[in-house]
Amino acid sequence: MSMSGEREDILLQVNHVRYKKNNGQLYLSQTRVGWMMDESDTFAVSVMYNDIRTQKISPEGKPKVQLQIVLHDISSYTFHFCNTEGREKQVAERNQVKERLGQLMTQNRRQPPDELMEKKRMLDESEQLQQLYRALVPTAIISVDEFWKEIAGQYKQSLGPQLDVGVSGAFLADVKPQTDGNNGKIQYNLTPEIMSSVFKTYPAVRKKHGEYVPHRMSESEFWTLFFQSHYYTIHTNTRTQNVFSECSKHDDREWNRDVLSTQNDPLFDLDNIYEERPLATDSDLKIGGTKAGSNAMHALMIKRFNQQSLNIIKAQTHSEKEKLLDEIAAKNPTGGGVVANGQPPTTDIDQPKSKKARIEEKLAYNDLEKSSTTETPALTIHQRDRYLTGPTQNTFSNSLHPDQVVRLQEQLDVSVSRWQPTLPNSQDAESATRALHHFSDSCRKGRSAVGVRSGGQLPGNLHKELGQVYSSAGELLRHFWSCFPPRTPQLQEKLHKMHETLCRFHNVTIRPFQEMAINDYNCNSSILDHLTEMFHIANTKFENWKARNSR
Amino acid sequence: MGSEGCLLVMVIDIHPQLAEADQHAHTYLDACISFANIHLASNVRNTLAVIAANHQETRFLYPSTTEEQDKRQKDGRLELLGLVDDSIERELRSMVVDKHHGEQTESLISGAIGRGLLYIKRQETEDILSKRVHARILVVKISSDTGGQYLNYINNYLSAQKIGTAIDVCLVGSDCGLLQQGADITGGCYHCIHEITELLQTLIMMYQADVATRKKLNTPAPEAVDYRAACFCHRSLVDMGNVCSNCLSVYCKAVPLCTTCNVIFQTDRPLMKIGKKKK
Repeated sequence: MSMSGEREDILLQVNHVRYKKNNGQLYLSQTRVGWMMDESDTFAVSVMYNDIRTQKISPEGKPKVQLQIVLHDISSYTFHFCNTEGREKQVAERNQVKERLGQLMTQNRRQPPDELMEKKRMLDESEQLQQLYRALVPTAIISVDEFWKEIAGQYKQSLGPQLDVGVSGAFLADVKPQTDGNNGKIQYNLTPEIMSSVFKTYPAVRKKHGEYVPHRMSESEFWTLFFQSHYYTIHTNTRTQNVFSECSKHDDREWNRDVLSTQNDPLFDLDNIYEERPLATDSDLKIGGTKAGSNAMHALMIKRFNQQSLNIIKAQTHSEKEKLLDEIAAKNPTGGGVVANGQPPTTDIDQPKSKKARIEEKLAYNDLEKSSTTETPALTIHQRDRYLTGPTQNTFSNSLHPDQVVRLQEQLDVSVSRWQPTLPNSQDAESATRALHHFSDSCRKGRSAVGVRSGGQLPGNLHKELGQVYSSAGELLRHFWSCFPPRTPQLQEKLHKMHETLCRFHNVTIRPFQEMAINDYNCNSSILDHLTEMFHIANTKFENWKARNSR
Repeated sequence: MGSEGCLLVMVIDIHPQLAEADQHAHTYLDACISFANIHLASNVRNTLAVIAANHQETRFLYPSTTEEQDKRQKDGRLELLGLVDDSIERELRSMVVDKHHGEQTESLISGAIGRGLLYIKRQETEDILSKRVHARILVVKISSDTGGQYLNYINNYLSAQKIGTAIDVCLVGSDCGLLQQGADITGGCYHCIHEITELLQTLIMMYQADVATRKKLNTPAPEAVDYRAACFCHRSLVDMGNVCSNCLSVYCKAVPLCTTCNVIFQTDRPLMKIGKKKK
């Protein structure tokens, strides 16, 4: 039981660890934890992280500093830290091991389930993929990793980009508080979806969350404050310096910016709202004008509602742009310089475009414009006859000399002048019967050659199985042919592998299928001729390429 | 024979080679006219166009472009048929008499097919309702050499394929690969007969039904078409060859220079060094 060097690097090593009263060392690697006795070089204990259910430490008061690992099958291993430098060092080492072990456990635990789940999901979604998997992997024609890398990879690409789920408009209202009758406590039920909706809608809150949790306050405290803040209640305690008061200032600024940009947009005609109507009477003003501004609380609430709606819309439309900007910001911490895709990050987006440019943008469609004509160089032909004759076989025997043609033309002239169209005599009976004989013969010949090759005459099950064999073979052949021309070493390697895979497929699947078809179904042996021919061609191509390359 | 009519464009080869078999020239022409009559008589909505081609020109025999005569029926048959017969006969006679001296010795069948395709297109656009016209082209040919018209033929075939027009070919004499390819490309039927006396019977059996009906009839199975190209140096058919990327000429082996368009090919092998002369 030795750890192979490449895959399992030793991440942490702790000396002076006792297990079952023997001194030794404790090792943590990428996928497992092991303990080796001092004088030996083999691992007495080796546990994969997947098998570990939990770890426990001995409480503070105990004289021994211990760490226990509990596995899924209830068995446990207890390690005693006995560093000669003293108890503090032992505690420090033990805590270090505990933390690292915890991290590695969560890492290793999360990966397999997700991957497995995703693979299962993909197989469930596509029946074709499932069939290919069943045909190729259990029979060891193609290994599991190769399958997922090549075939599933192509399938995943063809699925297209995944769409994000948007923010629900009523996400804050859906958090229905429950009142606990006794103390007047209000309980809010938060789900991760609501939290992510809040983060998407209010990026300022997300920033605050990142800053405060988990260092300064816990999640529940943060969210309690959130619900007490201006986001959720109208009467805020403005006296205390709250976590969210900064957020409210930020939101006010953003709101003013949005309103200004909407007002200043030259394409919107908003004059009627902001100017007083010249012919308005007193009664009009009473209804529309004054009442709205009188109640400041209402105005504030309306403003908050509007801002929330606007933020929700922004969360959806700006999600792609923000992702791109985040990526750019992550790559260039200095905040400037050249961006990978060559476009300047934020300045172009913020610049207001002129009114004319925006109107033109809405009017013109690129694909309706005339495509620009490219100049092509002229083709000079030095041997016209050859070019015009094309790749046809030359039938020298029938070509006539111009003089001959003139002579024949005279003859034809004479002949036609003597011609009187006698349509009832245009076909004599003997030749007609001869023609009919030829025709019937060729019809009969044509019919017998068709035979069993037509798929509709196969017995039902064989038809389906043949289809499956064809689809797996087709997939393999497609990968094989896509390797040509093999310019890079990876393609060459893939070509070799595909050739082996094809040979294996031929032996494992095709030969038994053919025998089964002949024995069980009493079928025409030419049923797989086309498939075997395709394999032959692929094989010949590979041999030719190998021969040419090894020269 | 559906309720919609079919436009049949007959391309008839009137190459002087026809005169070699003397009485049979009459049989040939009679057979063509009879077949035209049969086509018009089988469905009242069928329409017809006849184009003749010899080595000098191609000419529309029907509908004729020269004179329009309203002839009354003489002998109790359909007026239209009489009109067609007269028109074809008249134009044919004037065409054969017309003589120029030129270098061209091959029949201008490709030009005739092109004119036929244009006629079909014109019928389509001139129709009041712009309905799609069911049309097919029937080529009756006696000479088998296609000469220097490869490009023209291929252009015609591809255009016909694009507008869904089948080109049927009936050859009298020996096989012609290019026409066989054309029939295959456009979905038409190719046949070669050796006796000119069997012409009309063959035309009726194989080409009278239009394309949709043929699928329901028991017709001879089409042979495999040989699409192999011939190399430009030996004119022999090759399976694998090298093609010039500039002018698309086919060579049986790799050559450093294309002799058709004088383009030099870059090869991997280094050019041979000329040895230094020793003094």
